[in-house]
Amino acid sequence: MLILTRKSGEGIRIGDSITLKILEIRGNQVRVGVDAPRNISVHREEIYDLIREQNALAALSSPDSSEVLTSIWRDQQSLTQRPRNLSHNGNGKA
Amino acid sequence: MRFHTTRFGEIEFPEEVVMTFPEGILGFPDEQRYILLEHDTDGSPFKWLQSVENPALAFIIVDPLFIDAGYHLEIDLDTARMIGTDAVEGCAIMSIVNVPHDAPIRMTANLKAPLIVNVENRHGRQIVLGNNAYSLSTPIFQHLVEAEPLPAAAVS
Repeated sequence: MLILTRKSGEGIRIGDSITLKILEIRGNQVRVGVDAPRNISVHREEIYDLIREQNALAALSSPDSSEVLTSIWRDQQSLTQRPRNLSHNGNGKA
Repeated sequence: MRFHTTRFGEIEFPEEVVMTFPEGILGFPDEQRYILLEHDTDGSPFKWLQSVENPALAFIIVDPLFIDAGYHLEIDLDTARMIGTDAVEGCAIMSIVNVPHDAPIRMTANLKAPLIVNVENRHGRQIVLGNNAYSLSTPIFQHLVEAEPLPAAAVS
């Protein structure tokens, strides 16, 4: 990994099209400005990693068919249609 | 067009239903073309987003409004340029669903990073919402999970 020391107000250029600028340093927080072409998406790393992980998990764990979903959906339907003998708030649709 | 999928076998579809995600879906940059497949149950809110480049790649998706009736988002400038609109009304919004193998009832939806597709040109992008109220793994059937086992829950 290339390591550079920068002061507030200084920047880093990556290729012709990306600029990082150190805007402010306060305690252990650094504000960084990113100038990048519109077709390059910029994310906070931990959020990017989480979403990627979540997507990968979703793709991997997709059931082989719709059967699981269908049965859960049916359960859900029957549960919401079951008479509500505990709630008396009057908005039960069953 | 025809494509052989792992789950659904051979599928046939017109070119104009294909959606293009120029950046892919986060973590899947090589797959950019998808189609929506309906579930065979009436009224089920779930659909499959099937890649037409990778036979095994399919996501289950759900309309986020099904989970959160107040769900809303705004289209940022970069996204508007990529998909060709800044009007949410002209877009389809989808949340990717995660179904755990061992406990499918605990399925969750990603409300934090929805897929947004311009229905006119069918260009889409996975966007990341700044709104901290939206979670990457929002339980879909919370009430079902809580309701099991049914009788015991009512006692105390």
